[in-house]
Amino acid sequence: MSLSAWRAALRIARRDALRAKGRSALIIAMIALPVVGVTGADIVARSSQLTPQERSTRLMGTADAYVSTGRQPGWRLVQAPDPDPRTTTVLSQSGPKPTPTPEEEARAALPLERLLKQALPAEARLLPVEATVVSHLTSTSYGQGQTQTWGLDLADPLARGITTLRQGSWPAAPYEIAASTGFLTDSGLKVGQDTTLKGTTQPLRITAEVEYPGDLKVSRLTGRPGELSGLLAALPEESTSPTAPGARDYLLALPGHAAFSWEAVQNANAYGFTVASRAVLADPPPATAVSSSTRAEDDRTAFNKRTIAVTVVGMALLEIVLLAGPAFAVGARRSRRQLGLLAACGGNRAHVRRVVLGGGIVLGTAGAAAGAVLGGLAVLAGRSWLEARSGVRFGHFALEPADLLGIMTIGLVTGLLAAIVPAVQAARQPVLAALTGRVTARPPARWLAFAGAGLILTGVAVALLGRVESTGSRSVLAGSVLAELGLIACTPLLVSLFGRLGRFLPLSSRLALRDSARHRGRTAPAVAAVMAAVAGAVAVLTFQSSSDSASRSSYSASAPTGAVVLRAYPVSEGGHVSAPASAKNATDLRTAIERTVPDLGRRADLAVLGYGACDGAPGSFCGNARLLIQGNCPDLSGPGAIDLGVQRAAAANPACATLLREPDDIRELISGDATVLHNLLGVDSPAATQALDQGRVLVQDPRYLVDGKVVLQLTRYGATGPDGNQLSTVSLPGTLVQGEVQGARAVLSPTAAQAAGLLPSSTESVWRPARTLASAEEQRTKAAVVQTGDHGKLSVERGYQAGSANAVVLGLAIAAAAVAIAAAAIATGLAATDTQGDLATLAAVGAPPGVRRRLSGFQCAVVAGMGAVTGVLAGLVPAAAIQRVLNLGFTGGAGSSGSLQVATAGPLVIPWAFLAALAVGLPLLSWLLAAGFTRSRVPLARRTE
Amino acid sequence: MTTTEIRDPEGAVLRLRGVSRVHGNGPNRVHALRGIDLTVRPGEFVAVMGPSGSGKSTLLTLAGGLDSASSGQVRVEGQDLGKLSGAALSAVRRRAIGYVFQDFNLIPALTAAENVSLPRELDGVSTRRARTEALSALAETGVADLANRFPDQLSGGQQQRVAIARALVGERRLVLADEPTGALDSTTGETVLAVLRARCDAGAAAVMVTHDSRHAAWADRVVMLTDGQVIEERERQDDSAAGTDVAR
Repeated sequence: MSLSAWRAALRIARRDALRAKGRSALIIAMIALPVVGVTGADIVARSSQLTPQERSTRLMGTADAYVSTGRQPGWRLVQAPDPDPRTTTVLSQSGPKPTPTPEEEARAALPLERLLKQALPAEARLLPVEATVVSHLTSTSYGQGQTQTWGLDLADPLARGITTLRQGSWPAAPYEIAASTGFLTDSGLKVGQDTTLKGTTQPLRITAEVEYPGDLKVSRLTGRPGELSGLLAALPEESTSPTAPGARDYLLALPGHAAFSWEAVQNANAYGFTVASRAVLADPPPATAVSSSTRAEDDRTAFNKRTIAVTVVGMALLEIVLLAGPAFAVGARRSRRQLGLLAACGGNRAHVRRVVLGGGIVLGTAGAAAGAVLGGLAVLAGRSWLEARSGVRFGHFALEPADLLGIMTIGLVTGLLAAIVPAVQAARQPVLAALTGRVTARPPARWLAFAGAGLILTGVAVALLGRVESTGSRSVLAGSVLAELGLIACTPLLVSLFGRLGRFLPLSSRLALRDSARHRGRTAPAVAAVMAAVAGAVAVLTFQSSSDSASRSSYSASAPTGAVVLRAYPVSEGGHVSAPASAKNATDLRTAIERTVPDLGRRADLAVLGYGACDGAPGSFCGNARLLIQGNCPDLSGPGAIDLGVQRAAAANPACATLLREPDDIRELISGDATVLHNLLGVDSPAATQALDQGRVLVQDPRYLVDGKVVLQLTRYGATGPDGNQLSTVSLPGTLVQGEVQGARAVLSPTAAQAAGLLPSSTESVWRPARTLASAEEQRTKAAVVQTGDHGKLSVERGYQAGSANAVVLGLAIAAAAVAIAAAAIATGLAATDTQGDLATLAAVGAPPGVRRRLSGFQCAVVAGMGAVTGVLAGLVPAAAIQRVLNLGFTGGAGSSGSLQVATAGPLVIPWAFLAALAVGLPLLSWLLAAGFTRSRVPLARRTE
Repeated sequence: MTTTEIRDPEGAVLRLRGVSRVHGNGPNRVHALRGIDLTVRPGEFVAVMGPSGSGKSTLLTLAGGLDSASSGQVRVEGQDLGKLSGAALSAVRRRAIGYVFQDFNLIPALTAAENVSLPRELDGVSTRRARTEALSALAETGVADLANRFPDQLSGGQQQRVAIARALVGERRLVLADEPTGALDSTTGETVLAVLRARCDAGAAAVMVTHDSRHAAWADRVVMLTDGQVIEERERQDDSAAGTDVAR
């Protein structure tokens, strides 16, 4: 076809788009919306990808290199050009035992300063950086808070760019510090105020508010080198800590900012230092010059994520094609006579097709361009919000022309795809029929229905029978997509089958159903669009309700609902756990909590029991005490346990329950009194209290009782035995009790515990207030714990919480309903155009004015109803498939500890109420909306353009 | 793309030989046309009259290749339309036949000049040349000054003149007009007919379906149809309205 014919077709399409402004705006908006999203995401992703120069500035300011001495100074290491702790290897440590060479041992013995001098160019200037991620408590306006402490002379020109000064001035005098914005927000302190590190008395004056562009939320105090670390080093408990802060890193500057070469980096590596060089980052050496051990492994999850992203975007585009398709169909139908005229002037089928496709090109281009511009503007306008959300400043505002062109092409293709079916249909209609307005209904194409049925069967088979992979299942994705495409192909046939139900319905609904069935060209895409939206929502919601039900059933409350639980941590003194200090800490915490919320009721103090003190004191040992259960469980720590059959058998074996259970908050063995029984287990029987006093062990699970005895297995680590551990068992008389929750598997009296050789390993207190604490009260008590030294943890048992799932459910339901109603409304608008003649005839034979309203309502409801019913069916396939994958897949293998975790996916739970609401509620809502927005006056029948 | 046309050996623009058109099957079978013979030569203006359902419009759609004959032969510029593919028929409509309908003749999204140049552009002629040809066709129908107006900015009579210009743009010389004055008042109708008459006098051929015998008076020949058959064919005589009966 010649260029001028194309030009004529595009001219008609463009002017038509301008004439039908409402319809064009609708299509442009539909195409633009995903383009806005993808463009925004692309710009954000590109802007967050720092250039080597930007990365260097954030890491080393204006210096030429960043030297790290944190590995094993003196021992040779290999690093990647962009040093990454995960791939950096100290060669002598790569084997099972460190094997340093004599030269390395000699170097390691040298002081760090001398080693640095040898490793780095002699003319280099070094600026020390004390960068640590360890947090310390410091005073705030509310009490105390955790913060990082750094040592770096921010006023030095080399440090420029590592931080941004937001207010105040750089620390210049001793004990002046710069506080990060995150610290000032958390602490409530302002520039000019003082803070004090816990355990010290030296006030630190905040002179600057600074922002770390790579971590906007970090809470960090930066003083001059040696000051903060010096204060902390003076603390007794810090001096023994292996993470003692100190100058371990350096900013390095060469005269005239010369390049720090890859050879120089490798030379520094020989002395055990890692170096990030500005020059090497900007111009990395060839791969042959880099040790292969430093290369990161291929990320398989990235591939899976990409597959999922492509599928989601693809399905979204399909949805838009389905939604915009009917709009093009109505355009083609409205300009039927115009297209007939074109044919009468000598236009052939290709010419007619191209006019309709031209609409797709024109609106697709407009939508893509509008979307790209809006996406860019949205990111520009929301930049600071986006940066605050992600916690990282963009390097620069990156517009990648190739990306944008690609995204806009997707928009254009969406428009074209949406116009294809209407274009083919318009070109196929006889010229005479187009000119006279006579349209004949044709039966749905059989081959399409057959192809659709084939796709559905293949898709269901692939989704439900496909291979299950450990890292997620692409067969589910592929199968679900195939089945959905198949259903879309079958929609014309389904619509025509639905049409046969018409004879059983009253006039308005009969007319609506027959009309929808006759005009499948506009009905089928709309039904398919509703179906796709509903299917997606049903799939996610069914999966959601199944996993929610599984989580609910596997949830084990650690205390009765409403109980307030305080766990006091052991306190060390002089390298060992100190019993008096721990007891004082527990008392302080209890007092603080009871002062904050006075009406908590009676307190129950309990001890979690262990075997061996394991505190490093002379004569102490480490061990473990655990309840034995009836029956035998195979050894799950051996190599054979990886076999799926063995794992399934173990999962079904109650004797393996203690091995297979997920880590939970249930205490194994505790000692306590009657108040503990009441507060922690909800056991109030005098018999239980009596049994406890008699030295019996109270259990709630009958499997722990063998012939009235409870058997404890005691393991002493490191003692002589087959695997270095010594095993022994203790049998104690047991009593079965029935409580509200299993807060502990077994309860003993303190004297019985002592008799059995069990020692308290930590202390807890449980209150059972008459009411559940309000969130504000919980916050206050938690703050009280932090202010008392933060050596404890407070929790309020609130029972199973569905988490954010409900918001997901609501959002999905709203999105599905919006898409469904939009699709139904488009189809109804189309129907209104087609049925004007019928309405005039109806009015002429005496139909009341309300009939038009009812007809519109039913037309909308028919589309929404057909789509909702098929969508519910289509959505159950992927949900069932995903559930199957989760039930078959084991989330973890046999670990060295002999425990393994079985995915507790549970059965497929179908949210019937929600599905019913979709299948009934959607058509009803569509009916009401369409009927409400339709004028009942019947216009005069006249020929349309 | 070739622009040379196969001309009729006898110089006829349109030639119908024993043309019949049957719609439907069995008891629904309807004979719209029965064995029609008609020849139209260059410069000739033929009016087709008859009651509703007599087959006038069917005759026009068959002559324009919009519908195909059940039997018989339709030749336009010597080409047998029955033997042409859909694409070739479209090409014949682009190059040899022009249509003028009662109303809604023009594509609303295109200006008068663009409407006229449309068949030429579809035929692959460059936009510039198509526009030049369209402007000259518009000048011949007396509406050159309206070239850049859209159809909704034109009166009914102006629209029909633009439609006639489009029907005759390029090398086309057969106008098939279906009640071209049906939607116009009588004065405007007369002006449009005068234009059509003038184009025929300049060498074009026209077949016009009409109900109105006053309009038929503009034609060189009047063909009367009833129940799909020609019952009378009258030649216009310069000084009298009386026709010559032609034996069937």
